[in-house]
Amino acid sequence: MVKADRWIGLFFSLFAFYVCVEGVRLGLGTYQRPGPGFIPFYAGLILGVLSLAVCLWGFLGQTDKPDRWQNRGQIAMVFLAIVGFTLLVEWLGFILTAFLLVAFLLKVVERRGWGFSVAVAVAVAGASYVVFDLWLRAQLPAGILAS
Amino acid sequence: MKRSSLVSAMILTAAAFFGTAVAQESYPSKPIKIVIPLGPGSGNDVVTRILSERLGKELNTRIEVEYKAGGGGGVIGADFVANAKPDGYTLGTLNSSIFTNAPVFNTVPFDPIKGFTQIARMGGGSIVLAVRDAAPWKTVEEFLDYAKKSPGKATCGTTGVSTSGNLDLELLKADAGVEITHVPYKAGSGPNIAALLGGHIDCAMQLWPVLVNHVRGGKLRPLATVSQLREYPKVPTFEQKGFRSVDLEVWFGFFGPANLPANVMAKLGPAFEKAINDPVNVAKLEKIGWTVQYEGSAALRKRIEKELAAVRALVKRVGIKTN
Amino acid sequence: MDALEGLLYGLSLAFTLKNLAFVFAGVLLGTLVGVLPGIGPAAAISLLLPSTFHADPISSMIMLCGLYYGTMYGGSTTSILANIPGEAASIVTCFDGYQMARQGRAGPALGIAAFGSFFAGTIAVVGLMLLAPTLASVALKFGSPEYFSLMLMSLTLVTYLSHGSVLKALMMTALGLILSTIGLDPVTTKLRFTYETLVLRDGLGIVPVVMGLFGVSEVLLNVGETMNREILRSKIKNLFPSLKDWKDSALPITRGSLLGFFLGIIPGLGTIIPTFLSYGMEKRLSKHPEKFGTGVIEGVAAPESCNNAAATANFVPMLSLGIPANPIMAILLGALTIYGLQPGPLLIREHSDLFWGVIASMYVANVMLLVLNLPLIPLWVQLLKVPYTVLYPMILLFCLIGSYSLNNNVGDVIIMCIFGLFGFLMKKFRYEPAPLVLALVLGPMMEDNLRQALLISGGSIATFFTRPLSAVFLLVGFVSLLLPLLKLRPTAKFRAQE
Repeated sequence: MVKADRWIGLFFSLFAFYVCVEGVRLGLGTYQRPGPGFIPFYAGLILGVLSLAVCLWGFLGQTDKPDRWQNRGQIAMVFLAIVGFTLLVEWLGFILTAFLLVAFLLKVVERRGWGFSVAVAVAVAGASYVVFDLWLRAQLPAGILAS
Repeated sequence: MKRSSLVSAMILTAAAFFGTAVAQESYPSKPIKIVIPLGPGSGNDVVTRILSERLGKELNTRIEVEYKAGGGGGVIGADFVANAKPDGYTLGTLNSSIFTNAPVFNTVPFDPIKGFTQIARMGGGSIVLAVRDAAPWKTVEEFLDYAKKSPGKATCGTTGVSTSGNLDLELLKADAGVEITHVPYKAGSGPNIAALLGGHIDCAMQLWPVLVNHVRGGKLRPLATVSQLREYPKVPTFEQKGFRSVDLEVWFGFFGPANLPANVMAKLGPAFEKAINDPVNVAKLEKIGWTVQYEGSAALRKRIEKELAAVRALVKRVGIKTN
Repeated sequence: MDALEGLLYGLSLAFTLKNLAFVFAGVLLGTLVGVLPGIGPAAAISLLLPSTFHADPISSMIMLCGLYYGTMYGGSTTSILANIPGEAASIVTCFDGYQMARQGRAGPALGIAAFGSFFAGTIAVVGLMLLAPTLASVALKFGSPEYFSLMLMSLTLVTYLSHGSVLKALMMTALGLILSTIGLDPVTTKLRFTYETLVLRDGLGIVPVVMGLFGVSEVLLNVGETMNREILRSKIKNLFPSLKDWKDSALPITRGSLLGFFLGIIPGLGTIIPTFLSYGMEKRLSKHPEKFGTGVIEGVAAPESCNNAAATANFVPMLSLGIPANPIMAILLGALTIYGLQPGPLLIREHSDLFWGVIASMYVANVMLLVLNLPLIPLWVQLLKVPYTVLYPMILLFCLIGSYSLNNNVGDVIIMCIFGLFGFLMKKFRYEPAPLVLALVLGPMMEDNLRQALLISGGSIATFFTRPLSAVFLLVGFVSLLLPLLKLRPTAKFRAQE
């Protein structure tokens, strides 16, 4: 248990409450004939009880030292990079987006040199294009390069 | 040396320019992509694979199959086709329930009629009421008798709510005035067939191509069918047995996004007609249980309008809940 | 035709130069596909399909089966090296395999995975050959009540999966169950928690969720720990399993193979659920259950054997009854149809050349895969020496490609990203992803079968208790839920901490 469990427990019990409300709205049905909300409602109920227990435990029980948070900026940038890839890939096409992703991670996040970053990015994007698109014929988006 | 390379570069540029100019006039100049909305191994996939060779020959290009599954019954794939550039390079093999069932039960992001250019209909598969070989019922009357005597006890599996099999079952129940418990299965026909073979349910309302090999193998017995089965002419149709309204089938059609240019349609229409009516393809398709029955663009559009209205009416009449 | 005669006939088909080449092409491509995370057997087989239309059906089938086999072998590689399941059935291999790699024991983990797969594959082919038709009809006795009870029993395993707080494990299970209900309700077509997004209508895909929770989150964690990532490459101990490793793994491999084979026969169970069960069983039987999840070799040996045995057993209902047990079998069934063969109860009799040819080539494929995979191990281990700054962009790229090519849909990639962040936060606050994944896999089948069983029984709950097999499952589940709860009373835990 860590101190944050107090807030996590609270958050999940609120979420569970929402799920239960949705469950009722979808229709619980009966035990003989469960409706679409049956499983969500009961799973939500269990989640709610457990979350409250976790929350209480966080207040009453012993808590360990929480994990340290290092490199928060880098983690955020890595996450944004993959989200960016997702949003751009259909528009820019696979090769270009893959190149940008790898180059960004190496140059901006890991602060490698320009030459190194671009060289690795070209190699990785090219190789994955050959393997996935040409050999395995995965249907990766071609994007603007196609037209 | 330098000059010659300059000249060749100019020739290349000219050729490229000329090439694109020609491409705009003559369709198709690159491979055509056909979207399969139900994933590999599905009926849509099998049908497209069988037709694609002749189709490619007619159009003088390669046919590429692309899977876009999901959205509940193929809605994502259909939506992808509807939103594609209307240049004739993105088409779809779409099944009837996308147009006639999905819009009735849930909202769909496209207009089932105006959202597409209808190209051709391949034909389809009958829906058949089947029981286990070991089951005591030899005819559809015997089965309905049993259902009448113990209302709600008889169970019938389908591939899921709002599928054509389910709607046919509801129509049969209404027409015959019996209570049969509908057991919806999902994830394709496998679980439903397994449950029927294992004797966990009494019957199934299923697509004929799904049943055909089990019937040939003597494990299942067809009691009645929506349309006549060529291989088993003795199996009565629902109409012959007096259940006139049980008439929904599953069919496949080929579609493009709305407003396909006339020159593209002029190529696609005849090419699909020839591929579908190719005797080799017909033989292959009929062997695995499909009925080939080509229909052109206008007829297909009329069919969808008619069937969509029919499903809307029947849902109201039989009292199936929609969302 | 009896089995021996059939096998000899099959071997005569398999040992032609052409068919050997087809097997080899299949297993080679399969290994590649298996090693690359995300691109699973289903995608690979469907991509290869068109190229087989003009070849002879038996050779084509042999190649596609080899490909499926190869992915099952290769799937463990990235699970062990990078905590990313190469395909869904290798999720469980991550638990201990990746920990072994972190301790410099990637070699033994990969070696045991390869040998376990070989053993399990061979056992399962023997079973398939001798028992296919008989077992297939027995498996049909499995009805909705049995499925539901088995799922419920499997769900109680979460208490064995976790090595942290049981409370938190149960919480994640409940969350997984809630997430598993996303999508079209199978009985009423009502939309649940879909918020106008089409991707969610078919529910959350297992693969994007797993790649997010395991693969992406692991990268985020490592990026956040400047020191830890160097440990990965510093000490690589032995390349192959030691004598002690073999001793520890012998029984788990045997048990995993048998469990996988029998569960694999039951249509619909697929290959993921058996691996969870096998892992839970090993932990239960182990003398040191507390070490599971920290890098014990049994935790790799059992599930890896199990998924290969299950993969082979999945062919039983497909070949003998024409019922696809999982999406891959559905594709193979479709392929047979396109070749003009008729998959169904008559397949074995009418196309005995196909049946025996495929069986014989499975033996061949197993040997080829072992020979192919063992020399690759030192190569894979070398991969860990690549600096992490260069490695992780590639890992992320593979995850992105894999989740996209599942359905060629960006929606799945977004799901993966979200679960990547979620998994990162979970690990930071010491919640484990495994119970969530198990619940997500089991949830839809559990709900479907619960509701189907009740529809069939006319609403009588007694159906779950009066059917003997179902009752046994419920009892086992009940006991396995109670035992650890009794053992892990909070008081005992506090005492341990003092």
